[in-house]
Amino acid sequence: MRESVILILFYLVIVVVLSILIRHKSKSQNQQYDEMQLKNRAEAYKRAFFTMIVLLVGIIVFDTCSPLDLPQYALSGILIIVVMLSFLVFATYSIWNDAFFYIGQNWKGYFSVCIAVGLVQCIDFVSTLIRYFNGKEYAQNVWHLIISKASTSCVMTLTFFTLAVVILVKQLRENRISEE
Amino acid sequence: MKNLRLKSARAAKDLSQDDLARICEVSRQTISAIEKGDYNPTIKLCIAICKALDKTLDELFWE
Repeated sequence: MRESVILILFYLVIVVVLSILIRHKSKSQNQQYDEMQLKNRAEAYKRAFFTMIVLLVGIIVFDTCSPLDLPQYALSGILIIVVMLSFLVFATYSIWNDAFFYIGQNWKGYFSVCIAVGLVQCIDFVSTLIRYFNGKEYAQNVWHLIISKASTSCVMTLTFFTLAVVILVKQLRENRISEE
Repeated sequence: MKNLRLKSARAAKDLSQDDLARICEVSRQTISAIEKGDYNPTIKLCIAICKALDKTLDELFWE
């Protein structure tokens, strides 16, 4: 109980610090999107929002109608998958429509971050599988491994590597387009 | 529909899409999309482009 309260407080502190940092950053830096980018970002947000709604409704329908009960620990893993897939929809749409980076922003920073996070998650995924196959953990409960641990790191790996690939392909395509 | 008048006016001024984008404070892709007819700019951006190219709205955007 006490650990849960500490976790919630820790989460609230992170949210407050992040919101202060974002507000401070947006004031100090000249991050601006032009009108076409804003229009495309709005479309990207809309698509991500509806993706999230569809996935959540799917989970609710499954949970309500299926005779199988979702294990208690599964919910957080599934919700992470929903969030990451929605984020992927937003990011992919906005990158492909030139609305992800603000004017003059360097794409290489984002690309490096995507590769780094993807690698970390990939290592986590592989180590989870190795621990399972060595029989050290989760020997009693394979579902816990699949739904909660492995699926989360797997979907994070896929999300960030996909983003890196989309950024790279888009930039290569941009570089190839020459003005007539 | 492609906006060839914008493209030729830009070329006449010897400006690249990047140059025009920088003057109008938009991205190069936005200028490219306007020239290709993929995006309808707001009147604010139309005026900024006209000023940058020393043209009137009629000359660049009226069909």
